[in-house]
Amino acid sequence: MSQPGLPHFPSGPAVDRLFRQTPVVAGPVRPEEPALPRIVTPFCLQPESPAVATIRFPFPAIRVRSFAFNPDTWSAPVNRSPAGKSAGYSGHRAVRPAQPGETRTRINPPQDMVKLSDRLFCSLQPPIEALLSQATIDFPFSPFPHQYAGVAFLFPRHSAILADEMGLGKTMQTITAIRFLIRASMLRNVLLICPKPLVTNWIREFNTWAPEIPVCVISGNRAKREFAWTRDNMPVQIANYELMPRDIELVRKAERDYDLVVVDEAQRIKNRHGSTSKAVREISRRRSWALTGTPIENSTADLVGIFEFLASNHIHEGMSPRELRGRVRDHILRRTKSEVLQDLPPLLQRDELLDLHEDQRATYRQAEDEGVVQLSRLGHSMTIQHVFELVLRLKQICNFDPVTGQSTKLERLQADLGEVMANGHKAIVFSQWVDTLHKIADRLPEARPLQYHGQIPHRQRDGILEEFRNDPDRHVLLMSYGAGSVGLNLQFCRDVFLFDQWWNPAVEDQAINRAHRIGSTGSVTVTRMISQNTIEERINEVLQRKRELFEQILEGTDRPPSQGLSREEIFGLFDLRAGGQPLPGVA
Amino acid sequence: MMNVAETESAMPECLGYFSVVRIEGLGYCGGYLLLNFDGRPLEFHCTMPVNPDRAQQILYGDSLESFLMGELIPRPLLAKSALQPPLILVGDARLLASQQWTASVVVLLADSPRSSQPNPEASDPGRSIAQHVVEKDSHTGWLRDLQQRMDLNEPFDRIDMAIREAHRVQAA
Repeated sequence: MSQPGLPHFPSGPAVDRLFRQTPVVAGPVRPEEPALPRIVTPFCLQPESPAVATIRFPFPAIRVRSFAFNPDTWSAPVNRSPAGKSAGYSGHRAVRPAQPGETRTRINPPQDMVKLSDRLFCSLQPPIEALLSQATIDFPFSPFPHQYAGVAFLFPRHSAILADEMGLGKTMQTITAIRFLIRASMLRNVLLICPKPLVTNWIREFNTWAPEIPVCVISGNRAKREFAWTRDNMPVQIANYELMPRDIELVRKAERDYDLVVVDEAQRIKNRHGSTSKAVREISRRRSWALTGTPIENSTADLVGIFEFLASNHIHEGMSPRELRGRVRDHILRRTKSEVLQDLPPLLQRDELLDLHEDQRATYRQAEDEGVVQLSRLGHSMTIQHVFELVLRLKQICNFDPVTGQSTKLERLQADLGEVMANGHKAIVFSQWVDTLHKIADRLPEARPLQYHGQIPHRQRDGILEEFRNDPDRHVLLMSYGAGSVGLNLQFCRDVFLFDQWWNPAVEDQAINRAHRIGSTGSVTVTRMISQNTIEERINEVLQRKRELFEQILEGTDRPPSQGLSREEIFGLFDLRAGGQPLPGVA
Repeated sequence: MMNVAETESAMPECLGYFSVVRIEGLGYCGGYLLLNFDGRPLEFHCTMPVNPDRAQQILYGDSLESFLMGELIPRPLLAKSALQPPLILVGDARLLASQQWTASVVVLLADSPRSSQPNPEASDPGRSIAQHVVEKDSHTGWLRDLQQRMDLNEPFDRIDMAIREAHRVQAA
């Protein structure tokens, strides 16, 4: 009986040929296979039977590498109550299991993951769709495919920026990734830092997407906060940016060591020399995630600032856009709505170029002429602040003539809002000045507008949004860019009016995306009100250039880099000439 | 020997998946994955590439792949596992020969895209292999339940990726 691997061969020419190749060597061994030894095959002639040769041809011993993984089964908490979910929430349900042949979203190991067992742990996970389809993990709504990919991106990463365009569900993706990691026993404590107005939004989203995870908000007086910082049995803690410079001392004292720190609206830490950024970076942590729709607002320094939190010294400002892109590519996931949401209602944008009234134009001209003359007189003592003051003054005149109160923008807005109300729609009007919002409110009593800006106390803000959402007679919400541009879900609005423009297109995009996001029920129309032949038109051109910078880094184009607003560009708004150093950026 | 009927009433602790992948430029690599009932990985074992030389190809002829996949590779591979699954699923009929190296029942998924190879029983009727061919619509007990929860063929893709990942990293 022959053994496996030891076949018998008859005599004949074939055997003779083999005999002439003494000994038979398995080879040649290629240099990329160091583990495979050379094989020498012994053979012998059997004297009693010269016509028969037995060839022993053993394969080398097979080397096996073994990996064992945490046997945690991701068991879900039992007897979970659906109580406490947000209004309109109809109960969790499991996602339908992926069928054979359907798209599967894999958890691919990041490039900087070195250990083979860690990489295999990622590669051997079930597809995200399969994980979500398990009865132990349920969701209120079926996620979009790009959200599966976002979760798969965050799950294995220790340094990550989720830079999706606003409205694609960065919050849900982050919460789901945290949920998976907690269930896999890979996270025990998470600190989430966000702007103060968004704290309630995060609590609501956690309640919706991961109701079994307890969330603790760090707030109150110093004693309460000190106690909260020491609570290491809370899986998720939420703090706001405003607290961090003050509370870093408490964090230090509590000797907290977080498994994950997430910074929402991460542009808040773009200035790495700022006290907030320094405080956030000081927190001891193993993983660092940043969420922002605008990792580059003005210049590459913004991205460098955020990376100081993620992976210090990974990039620096001297790098070319191509080099930067190569370094950050594996750490950033950026999708736009046009890429991933084919069925999202269209976003219609229009620039409404308006002529100033005759009196308004006269006031504007006088202010500009006088301002430019004054700037010229300042000579070498002229600073960028002097120019800004003039810009702001002129923009305010473009909104309302301070002498006559005339406003072509308001007249146009009244007409447009009449149509909005007639159609039963709701609209948001943005301005950078609270004073402008007050004037609009005074002149539009029929629209019964609500106001949401920095002068509204935080405790009243949620109530205002609820009233705007639920009261059919409330058609207009007047918002400041500062208070209302981030984190709010107002996708029931069909119209957005930008009464004036912010310096920074990213802030403007944030404002627009309050309405144009997942859940939008119809097309969203954005109207930018720009006074013709004024400073507003010139600023609009500068903003366009800043948009191009963003695309260079994140969309991979090879256009030459721009350093944001230079001193020359600022002074160029008035055809002034100035030397000196370039500005790092104007936000 | 265990069979499917015997395991019907008991929920297994784990399930085995065994596959052999031929990677161009490397050779034949075996992968053995053990999953829990939620499809989560518990253990993974893979072999270093086996690259038969020309003489071996001549000597083994058409039986070379069957030998590698059913005997040479699974013998050390399946022995490495600390867990003992009741079933080991394979997607290629040639892997059924691995039954001789394990006390688990080796099962061929009949609807696997990998099962296009001819059944070795047809070409080698003298081979003694315990095998169970699971038809798509004839599941019982937990195996049927398992199929409702997951695509039974999907873990083979994971083995493919993990093997490639392991050798890519090692080559770097």
